[in-house]
Amino acid sequence: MTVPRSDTGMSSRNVTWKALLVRGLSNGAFIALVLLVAVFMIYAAAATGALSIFSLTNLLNASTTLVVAAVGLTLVILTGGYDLSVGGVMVLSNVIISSRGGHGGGTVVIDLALVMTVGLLIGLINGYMVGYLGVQSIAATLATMIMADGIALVVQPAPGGNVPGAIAYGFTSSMFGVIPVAALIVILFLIAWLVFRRTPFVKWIYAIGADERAASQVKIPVPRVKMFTYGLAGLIYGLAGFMLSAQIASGDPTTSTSFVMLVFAAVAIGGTAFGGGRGGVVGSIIGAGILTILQKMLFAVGASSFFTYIFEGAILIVAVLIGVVSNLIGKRVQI
Amino acid sequence: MSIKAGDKRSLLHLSRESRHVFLIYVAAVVLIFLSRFISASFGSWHEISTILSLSVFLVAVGFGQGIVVLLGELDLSISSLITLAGVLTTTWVNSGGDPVMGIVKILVVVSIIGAINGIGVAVVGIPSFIMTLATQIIVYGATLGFTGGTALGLSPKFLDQLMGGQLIGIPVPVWLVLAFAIIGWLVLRLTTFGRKIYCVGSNRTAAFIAGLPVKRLIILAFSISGFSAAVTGMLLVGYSSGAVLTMGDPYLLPSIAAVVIGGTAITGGRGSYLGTVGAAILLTTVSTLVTALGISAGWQTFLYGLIIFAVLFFLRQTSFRLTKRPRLLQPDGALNIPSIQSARSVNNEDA
Repeated sequence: MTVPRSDTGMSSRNVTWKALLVRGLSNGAFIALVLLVAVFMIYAAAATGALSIFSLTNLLNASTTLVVAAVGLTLVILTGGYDLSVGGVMVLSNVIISSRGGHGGGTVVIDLALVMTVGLLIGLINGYMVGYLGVQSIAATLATMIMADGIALVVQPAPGGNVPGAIAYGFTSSMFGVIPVAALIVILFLIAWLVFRRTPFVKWIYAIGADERAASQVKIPVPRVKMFTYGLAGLIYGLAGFMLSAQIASGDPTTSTSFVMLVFAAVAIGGTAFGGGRGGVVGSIIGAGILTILQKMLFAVGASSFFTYIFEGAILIVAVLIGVVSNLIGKRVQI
Repeated sequence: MSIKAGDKRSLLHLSRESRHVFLIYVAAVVLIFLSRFISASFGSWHEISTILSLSVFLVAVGFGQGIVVLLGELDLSISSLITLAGVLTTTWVNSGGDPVMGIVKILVVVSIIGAINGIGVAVVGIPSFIMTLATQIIVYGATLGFTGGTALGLSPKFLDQLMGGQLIGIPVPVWLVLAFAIIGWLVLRLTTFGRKIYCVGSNRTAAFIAGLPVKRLIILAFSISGFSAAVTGMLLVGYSSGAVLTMGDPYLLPSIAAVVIGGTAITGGRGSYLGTVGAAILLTTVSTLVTALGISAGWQTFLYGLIIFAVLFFLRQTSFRLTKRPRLLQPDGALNIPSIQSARSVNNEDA
């Protein structure tokens, strides 16, 4: 996605097909979308019954956790920071839900509110450390991630527990039998992004990521924006933990580091630049989709485990490489 | 009164970086002293030398990670590289033949993998986070395939003896920490290579214009990171008398933590190896103390994180109060020259 600007310098009548093509090829989100379609076609060809409603719903359910987490992380990365606490918050939310083990419809609301509050609090702590105290984001969020991991282990020392059925079934089933709830959540995030990306807050996020000093010189409240960005991201990670609980239907306090890597990979494949200022949520959502399909595909093909690792690593490079090439095309044309 | 004022001024006159490094060591010493309240055996010479011995792994791997971070990049592949070096040590070095040849072979292989990381980052332009993550996954898969799932084989005798031995009453690993600290400091501070790393890290465009071989330096930095991961893997094998497939994992995030807590900026260009060594010792102290408390694993982890958090909090607090800088500058006082890169990326937004 892009920074919304009023003067694009290219008025609509000058837009030629060639210019459109160049724009598309140099847009990370667009490239990621092409990749997503390609990967999905390979998956559909390789796995039998991949196009049935059942397995499509399954795929969407498997992807929501990563999608939601990647949306949160994207906001932080756009400011030029790293947020490792994503793993800690997700795992903590997961075990909070599984250890409470409530029943009935009310639990859904309480659980959701609880994990989002926890996420928000951890995020605000991160944001205060990074924005106001000037602690390096990777260090501050590593500390909070370790703390969240620790609390998760205290809440539930071993994998297990029980996620309320209302969450485990309610959020992995389909509405009216056709529309998967997971798809609704993804669409909800897309709409929210399209609505909010033109607000000053999101513009400030991009501005800080592009050049922090310049941003503070034009009177953007950098510390406050950073604090709220991390807070918002934390809240979204809480939601991701909620979706994770719905997906795996139990609690596991030990998986946070592997999540961190996966979420960062999703953001990178989606074309958001580490270092800030460039990219967007749409790309990350697509990136998360690509990673999910890849995992499903490797599972479906049934490659032996060490080949799976090698293949996964290679795909990661290829996916980002395509983004790099598209970026180059963009630069070539600009110069 | 006047002496106190003088003291304060002299602390002010220390450069920001040296003060940070100094405070890291102070924090480690304070923690060791505080630990006496937990158990009388803490703070004893034996305990201190144990902590220092344990910190040798983080000190070693932190050198390579530190150079990579100085360039503004990250190396996530070190966990798998440590494991690979460990597994290869128990097989190649033990398989008969010249053990020195075996060690050299391992160092070369792992350094080459590091160089591949560097090529991916510098030449192809893949973000280091992804490039090294991919290498981590691929190397792990390869190691898994190589061992068939279980890492067998014992550590070579001489490595056992090295890691368990003593020299003038002091454990060899402690000497190694000292040696690494001195060599690393010398390399970064007194060689042209070190100077160039700082140059490239603080402004890559300027370094390129000044005629530095930026790409070659980045590749070299990543291969040094691989090299130090290999050394760490061998030392770990000697210490634990064997290799396990997960032996490198506990060092991935702590290696980054040691570098960053030690005062190196994640954006590159600022930091020192002595800071990394101090932070490695500090982190090892904290984890040793926390383990000895006899509390559950969850509270141990939480406390570990909390102490890191507190260290970060207090170190920033002091530096904030002592240096009053106009708010227009970045909080860390870095001279942030908007580079060509960022100017260009702003233009790119509309794509």
